[in-house]
Amino acid sequence: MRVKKITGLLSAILLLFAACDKSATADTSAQAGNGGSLARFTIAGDFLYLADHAMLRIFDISSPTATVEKASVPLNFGVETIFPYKDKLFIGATLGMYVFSIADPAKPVALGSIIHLRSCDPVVANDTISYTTLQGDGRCGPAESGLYIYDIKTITSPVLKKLIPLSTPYGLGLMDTVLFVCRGNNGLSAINVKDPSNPKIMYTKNDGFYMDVIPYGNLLICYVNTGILIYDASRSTNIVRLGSVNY
Amino acid sequence: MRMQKLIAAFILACFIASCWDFRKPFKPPGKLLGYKPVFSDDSSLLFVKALGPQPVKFPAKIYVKGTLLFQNDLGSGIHVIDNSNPSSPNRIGFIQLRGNSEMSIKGNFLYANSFTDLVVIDVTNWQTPTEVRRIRNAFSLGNSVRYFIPLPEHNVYYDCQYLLYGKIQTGWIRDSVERHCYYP
Repeated sequence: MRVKKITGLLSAILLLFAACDKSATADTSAQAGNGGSLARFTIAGDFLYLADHAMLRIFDISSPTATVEKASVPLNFGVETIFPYKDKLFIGATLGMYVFSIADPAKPVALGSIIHLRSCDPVVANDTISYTTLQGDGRCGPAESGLYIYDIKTITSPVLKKLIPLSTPYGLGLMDTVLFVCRGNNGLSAINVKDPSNPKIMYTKNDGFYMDVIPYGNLLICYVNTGILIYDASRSTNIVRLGSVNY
Repeated sequence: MRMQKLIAAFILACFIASCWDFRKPFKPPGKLLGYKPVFSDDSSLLFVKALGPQPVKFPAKIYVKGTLLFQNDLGSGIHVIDNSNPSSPNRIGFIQLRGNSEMSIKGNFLYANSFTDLVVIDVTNWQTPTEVRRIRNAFSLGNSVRYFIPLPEHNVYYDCQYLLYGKIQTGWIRDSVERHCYYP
């Protein structure tokens, strides 16, 4: 009995040590950082993807000092943003959204696309849903401004699930089941997307002219016209402003 | 006598008016006032270097890595912000990189554009950034000026006859422009 206890204790201690060791060696600095939804550069694994104005360009960065272009894929004109999620890339362009598989990172394969009216359109996504804001205005085009929610379960044929009309949408960021949408002078809207077919605007912050947002751990990093705002987003019911840097 | 003078003036006016071509929109002939790109041959301008905190001119995209925040300043480089205490983030410096508009970071390496070049910069210590790789013309937003160094104001004409590849643009100068494109 005692022996059993001791071995149990020992193995528990061993397990603890193993766990400790894992967290100690999980060197986050070796990972890539996070960009906003308006980015044209993104890193997935050992590859850097650039969304050129007309091309997706792929660079092998496994040896950074010997970075080399591996391939390029022509895209329609007007590419503006790129967003990576697991083994997929979502590319926002003025005429639509493109989805690529990067299961083979050096050889992106086009999976599907959605054509929409001309607009500006950053994208974020998870396994089953992609979120795009379209801004239809003088500069961007005639599409209806709003949040477009697409069902991408069948990635080869995305289906528009819901459209929420929103004025002046810019960048967006997804944190679990809350989607944050930057809306210029109209604030930063937090939208509950637990049920993506029934999204609900929970609240809107008005601390500036919001351009883009990066969810980072429990933090929200917001790029506004007067500087950068940092929010604590650990409680989903409301975000709390922590600090800011001004221009 | 007065009548004669009036008629003479009227005929003169008609004569002058006949010289005008009313079909053309009213526009000064040839050149317009606008902005012309300024280029430099000094390739040392392309060297990446770290500076102390700089005033923000054309703030653009943001990036997060660990406790550091980064923000592009269109055309000139990347602001570095210490966010180890999110209640009081602090500007700590600037990575000067001409023609920059995009960035991404993995491990100790920053991947950013310098005009149409892709530049790989070792930022193990961001205060001593070192360019370790430059790939020419790896990134294009269209082979034209205007995409990397912002115009100083909106609603102006600029000279769009220049192509950017292989050139170092340092700014814009107000001047008469030959081939004018409009910047809304």
